[in-house]
Amino acid sequence: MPTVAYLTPLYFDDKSCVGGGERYPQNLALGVALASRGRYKIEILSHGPEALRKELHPNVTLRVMPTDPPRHVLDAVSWECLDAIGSADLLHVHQAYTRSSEAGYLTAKLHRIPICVTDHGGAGSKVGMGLNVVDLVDRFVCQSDFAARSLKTTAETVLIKGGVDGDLFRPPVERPTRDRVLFVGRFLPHKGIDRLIKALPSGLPLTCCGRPYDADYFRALQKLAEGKSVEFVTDATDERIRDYYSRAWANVLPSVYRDYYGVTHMQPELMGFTLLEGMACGTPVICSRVGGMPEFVRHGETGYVYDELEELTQHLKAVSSDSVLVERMGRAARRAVDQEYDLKVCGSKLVAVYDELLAESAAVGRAAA
Amino acid sequence: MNVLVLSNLYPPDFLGGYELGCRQVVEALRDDGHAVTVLTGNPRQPTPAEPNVLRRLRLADIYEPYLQAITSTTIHAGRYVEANGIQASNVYVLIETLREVDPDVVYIWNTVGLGGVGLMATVQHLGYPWVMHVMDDVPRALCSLPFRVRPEMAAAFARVLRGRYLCCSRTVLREIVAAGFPIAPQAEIIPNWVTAPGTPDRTEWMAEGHLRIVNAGSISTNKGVDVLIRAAGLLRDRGLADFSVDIYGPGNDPQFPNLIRELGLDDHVRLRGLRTQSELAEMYSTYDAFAFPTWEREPFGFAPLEALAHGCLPVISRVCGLSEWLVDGMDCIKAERTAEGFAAAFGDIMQNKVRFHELARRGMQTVLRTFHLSAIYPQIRKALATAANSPREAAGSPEDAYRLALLAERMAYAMVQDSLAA
Repeated sequence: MPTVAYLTPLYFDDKSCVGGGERYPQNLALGVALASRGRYKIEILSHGPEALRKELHPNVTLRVMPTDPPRHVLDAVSWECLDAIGSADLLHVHQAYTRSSEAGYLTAKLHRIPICVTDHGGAGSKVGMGLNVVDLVDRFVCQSDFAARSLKTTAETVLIKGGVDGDLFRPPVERPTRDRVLFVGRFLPHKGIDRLIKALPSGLPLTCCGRPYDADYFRALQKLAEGKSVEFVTDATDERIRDYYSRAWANVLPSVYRDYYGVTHMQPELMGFTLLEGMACGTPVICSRVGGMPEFVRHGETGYVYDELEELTQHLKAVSSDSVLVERMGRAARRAVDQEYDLKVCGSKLVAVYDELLAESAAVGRAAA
Repeated sequence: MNVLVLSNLYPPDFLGGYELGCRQVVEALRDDGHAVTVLTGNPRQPTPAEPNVLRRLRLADIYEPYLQAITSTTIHAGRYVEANGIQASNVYVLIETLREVDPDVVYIWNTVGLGGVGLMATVQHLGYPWVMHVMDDVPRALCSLPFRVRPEMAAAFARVLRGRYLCCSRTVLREIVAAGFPIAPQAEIIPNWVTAPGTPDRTEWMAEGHLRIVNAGSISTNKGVDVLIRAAGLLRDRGLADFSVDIYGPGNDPQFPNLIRELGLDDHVRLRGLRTQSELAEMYSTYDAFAFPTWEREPFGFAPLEALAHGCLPVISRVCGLSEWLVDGMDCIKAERTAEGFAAAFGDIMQNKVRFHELARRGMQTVLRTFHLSAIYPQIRKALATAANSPREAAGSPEDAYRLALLAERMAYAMVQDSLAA
């Protein structure tokens, strides 16, 4: 059974990072395991202060390789990589420009292992970028057209949108009363939560659910929220998040190119993973016209895409006052997930990519012999 | 065959037998009609140009005494990366040379100083078959990124670099394997050799009953020079005073002249300084025994064989690379690596307890028959030909190879910097 090594600098856990870029590889791994019916084994390789190895699902394991704390959070790399990657049949790198990924490219190339990469917009080490190391890659798997357009490489690109766990995030058997606007994501400036608070119509409750990875920004948000009905939840489990999705009129992702502090972000959202989670729970979504997010929202059908804050305010008023509209949009959103964005759908597309890469690699070996 | 030889040094620029051996095999290959190009390091002294010897690679000379005297950990760490791991500029030169020469096989010698791992990985990446001649624990040295061997790197080295190894002794192979390099299945044992015609008509030993002992090599405790001096002291103390010891070689460690003085051995033991290989060869026939109290890590040692070709009988440490090849009481005398052990061996010779003439004559014949390069060369040629004719692996592109070298070099520096900062 071929083994695919997923190399990711951080993994989805409070001990590492709870973000879409970390949940995504885990979901893809599960998708591949399910779609391939045990034809592929996935080993997620990541880094942390302590070694860890655990089975996440049949044929999906997480292996945390111990490292000293790196200078940049994405630049951890362990000597164990050499063996872990060298023992695999295929390498799927998550995050294109980190020292972890650079080690992956080098090791895989020396072992003649095909390389597949999905970038999540994070950037650590600058070494690889300066050398165009992504040209060493055999396939780029992009999660959106926006992500594909952002790439500067001659490598072949495959588009696989989505990857949400539609079994974990699903509509409730009995939906509770929808009574709030919801944001789910890390509390970071490029997420634009300050803009959502600003646009929030008077009297509408907002729940912001996520980990506060930027203490200054979190304090700023708390100050902005004074006098409004805003709740910050920083320790929610998946189960609780699912409950919030079910209770929301809309799940909003208000990410920005230029953040609260005036800092510009070129790739604030390559996909917007929590949008898909909300959709999977049968909840409409609202997003800014930023990054790859608009590709996943059918304006007026599964949610809304806005340009100006006034539009966001209007959309929030609409969903909070029209339950029929919300339910209709929620059902359409779930259908879209089932048909296009579920991890099993993505897993099946990814299996085809892996099959192709391994066949190409075997053909090269045969031709040389 | 069209052969590209890769070596850190190449005579007339050399440190010892490893490089001299390289040149001897190159000349044997050329004499046999093969095309051989040598790609080696920039010479450490002005060196005349010669055809098909390309001294183009940048040498990070970690053995240079002036540089060794620098105490900065950062500078040393950087030089270890360059010397052992990777020098992208050398990878570039190698790629260009491979493009020009397009050899049937790459014959790798000692690559410490050149960023050897990077060079070997490049040869492998470009799909060229290769053979490495191992006369020292070079793989282990190459994976010492500063300053110890990374076991993960050792394992990856053996897995990624799938060439053949010609090891001069089981001792050196065992040492490499024990350090974490499982290369034994890819290795064969081929001993070192002599090229001199020797002195096969020699008939006289121990003229006037005087035992003339010689030692040649680096003057160090690893080579057992202190053991030899103390053994001389014991001999003298036992009333066996009709002997002399001449020690040739580079080195200015004051401990050895001090020890000679301290033991009152000035009449018996002399440090004679450096001599060329040909000067030594001429002198060996005037000596009776070659003392080789070397450490157990000694991979082989050319000098005792060369001495034996001139009838100078080796008295060697019982455990060392050369000890695998010579038979105690047949063509050498083996001793425990202690002053007592060597004193006893010399005492036996001086008291006619061993058939010294017979041993020296038989040893000389053995060397000239079994260990002459003319006898060893066919094994080397066969190993090269086997590699050259083996199925080739898929070749990666030169562009990728160079890009990977640049990436590896920059990553290595970044990681060294991080590890030193931690």
